[in-house]
Amino acid sequence: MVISKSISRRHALKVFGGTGALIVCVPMGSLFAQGKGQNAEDLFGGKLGPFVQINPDNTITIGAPIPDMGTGVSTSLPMIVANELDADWNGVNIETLPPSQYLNEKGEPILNYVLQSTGGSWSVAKAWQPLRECGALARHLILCAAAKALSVSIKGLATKNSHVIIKSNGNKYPYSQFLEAAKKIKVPGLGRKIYRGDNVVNRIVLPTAAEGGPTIKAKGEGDIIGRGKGLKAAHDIVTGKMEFGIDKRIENQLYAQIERCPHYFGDVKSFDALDALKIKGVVDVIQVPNLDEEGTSKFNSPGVAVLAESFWAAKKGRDALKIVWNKGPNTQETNAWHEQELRNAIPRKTTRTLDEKGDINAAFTAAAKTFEEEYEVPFWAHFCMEPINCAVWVKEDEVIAKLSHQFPERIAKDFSQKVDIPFDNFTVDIGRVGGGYGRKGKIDFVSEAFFLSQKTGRAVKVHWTREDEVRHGFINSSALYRIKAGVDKEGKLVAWDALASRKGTAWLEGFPETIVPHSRLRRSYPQIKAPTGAWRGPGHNTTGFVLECMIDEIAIGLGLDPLDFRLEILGEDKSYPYTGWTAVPVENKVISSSRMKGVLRLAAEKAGWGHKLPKGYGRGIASCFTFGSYAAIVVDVSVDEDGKLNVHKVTGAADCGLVINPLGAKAQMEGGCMDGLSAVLYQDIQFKEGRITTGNFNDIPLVRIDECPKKFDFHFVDSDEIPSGLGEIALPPFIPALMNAIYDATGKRIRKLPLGNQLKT
Amino acid sequence: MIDLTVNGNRMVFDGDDEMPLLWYLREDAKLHGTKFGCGIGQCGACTVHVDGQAFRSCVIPMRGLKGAQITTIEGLVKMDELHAVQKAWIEEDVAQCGYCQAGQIMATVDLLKKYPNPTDQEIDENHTNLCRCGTYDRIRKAIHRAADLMKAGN
Repeated sequence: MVISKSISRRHALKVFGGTGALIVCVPMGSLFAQGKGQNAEDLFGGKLGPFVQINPDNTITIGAPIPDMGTGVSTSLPMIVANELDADWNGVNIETLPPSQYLNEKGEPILNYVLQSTGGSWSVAKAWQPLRECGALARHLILCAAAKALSVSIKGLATKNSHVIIKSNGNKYPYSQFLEAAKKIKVPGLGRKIYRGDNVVNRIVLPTAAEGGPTIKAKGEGDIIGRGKGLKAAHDIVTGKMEFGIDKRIENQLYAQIERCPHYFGDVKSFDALDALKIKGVVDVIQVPNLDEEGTSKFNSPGVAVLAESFWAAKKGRDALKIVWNKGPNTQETNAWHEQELRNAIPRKTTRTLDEKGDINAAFTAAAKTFEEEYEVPFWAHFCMEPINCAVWVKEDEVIAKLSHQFPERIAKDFSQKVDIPFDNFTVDIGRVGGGYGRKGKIDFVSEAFFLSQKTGRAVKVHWTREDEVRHGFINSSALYRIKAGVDKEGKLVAWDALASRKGTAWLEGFPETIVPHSRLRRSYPQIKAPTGAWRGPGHNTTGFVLECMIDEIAIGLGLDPLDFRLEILGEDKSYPYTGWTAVPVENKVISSSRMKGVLRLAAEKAGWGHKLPKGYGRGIASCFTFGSYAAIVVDVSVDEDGKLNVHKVTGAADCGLVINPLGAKAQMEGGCMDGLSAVLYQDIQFKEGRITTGNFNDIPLVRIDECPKKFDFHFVDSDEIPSGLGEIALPPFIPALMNAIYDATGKRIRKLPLGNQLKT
Repeated sequence: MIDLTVNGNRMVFDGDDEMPLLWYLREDAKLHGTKFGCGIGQCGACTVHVDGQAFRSCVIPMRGLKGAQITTIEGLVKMDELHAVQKAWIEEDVAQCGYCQAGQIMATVDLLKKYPNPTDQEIDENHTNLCRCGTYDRIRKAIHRAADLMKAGN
């Protein structure tokens, strides 16, 4: 591993200088160590902090540090900076920032300023504090410069819409007027500090207001946060100008298509490329091996790559390949085998207790009533709208990578050693991400591009088809859940025994387990080899369905209203320990009955819970805690006599702390519900001989506009908590709310997904 | 040799005439606004207008396009003025990831020619493009808004 030795002025500008500059792996921490001063010009190459550039026409360019895969973070994160800065939002331009990181003296990668990856609904939660500090710093520098230039004390000045205002006479001056002086303002106490959490980030440390540093706004201050703002990228999107990863190209790139072994853990036995090489435009045919020999879990699918001058030539070449596959050791795997294996795994010795409290056996013996049910979910694929792609050029001492990816920092981190090219010599150009859902956090397709570029010495764009994406995914685990619940003679939930038989993590923590006096969580380990990975709301996406349908079953079994029963279980306002993963900082890692009751009550009130519905209609409710945020969903449905499901209305409430952009927040709620509906109605990935046979939207069409409810109504709890995420928050409660509504309408309890023909019988 | 017009520009194509229009637009004409989503005409991300009608360009071979007039998302803007459907898309803040939206817009422009004042039912029956982010509620609102804008002369 090569560590950057010299820190030059040129490098600093490469990092922070205007547009066109891409990467970025410079140890900025060293700049402070050199004691060159603490003004913006020295530290940020002319910007007022890492994310703010004020232009001569008084427009402001704000850096969006995290790739936008449809979560709106390229709008909402700059809103945080702009709010602190009192910027005129109409005059704000957004610049997508490449990953910025460096290696410390131990060779450990350190992120500059903020975490720049996206997943786990963490983007806003993790970037919130660093971004507001950077916005406040920029405003502070402007104010200091203005005070000097105007001979007015800082206290005598206000800021609004990118202007400094003299309070006494109302005179206004554009920020740009003070830019040159602001860059030279020295801020005593300004420094950097390494924060270690899930990631290692070298953040800016500001002196406090009392020490002469900037004042950070309190909730409600500023004109931008909390006001619904449309996507800044909207114009580029509707005119087709927006560059997604798939649209980015490296000059003279070859297009690669890979016919991969369809059987997971299979390989190429032999192949004949003669016909492929005859296709006009085909340049080369190269066998792609397993690119991670040391790994035990599946990495890439080995296969044969056709490299050509165009996508189409590569495709024709690929179609002309003759390959004999070694089908590998998993050819017994079919959907039926998977279902049986989930069941077989439960009595095995490998089944493990994850958590236990109270005396579960005694509690069930003493229980007045017990409920026990099984729930099953199939495999779900990602179907990212933008198929996977990656363009890489490994040159002698430089790497250029252009792609869409959820973890852009991984490119240099994962490949610097492998290709023996210094960390600093990576240029990573991240396009807008056309849907990620967890799939675009993987590195398999990047490895393919590195391998093929190294083999050919040319720039190579690996271009997946839809079928490639579905058949070589790391998809959502299927699962079998067994839930047993005991209720005492007062109707109180006293015992909870939950078991997940699932290839992936169990994710059974939270309500009601944490609150029930006697509880046990267990997990079985089915020996399924189908490759699995993160899928929107990992784990919660299916446990939400299971836990919240089970609660409904118990309520109805006891003759209680499902909302009243939930509020009763949640009991007094209290914070409980939470052992699952969250995006919010460790000190906030609790689960609050009061916040959960808050979203349930708000959603129920807005939905008109308790009001009588027309015949044939049904209403269901559910609530979930996902990665730090709380959401409750109420769904209204009807089911026709022929079993056709109509989803009429979705009402929801979320408590995600402070809401940055209500318009974007609602979009995430809408999208989460629609993703849940698509999963319930259509997702059921098919397997045969240890391979996925589902290929494209003719197999799984996913929901279209005709199945979209005609009414969405989402609300947010007015919260003083720090912001947490929303991308994955609506789906986990949507699915059970829908299933509970179906039960309410028909009396049919759906315990196995997908819905399929279950309403038709 | 195939001559065709793309967004008003006369073009000539002399490559593999089996190649679908989508790849000609994206790679030869360098118009990347038209997107690849499925390659089998199922999702509509690649929707463009051929002689004024919406088609899924991933399944139209070049050989059938002699003399055709193609309009892509890039050709929808006239004299720097956004089309009413594009304006409506911005006003309703439709996009999430945005990948499918060019196709959604091109399909809507065609839909509004056939149904200048569409009902929800007409939208349901005739607008079939996939949006994986699930922006349909806003797409529906934007279609109605675009119809209003067009009636008002925009």
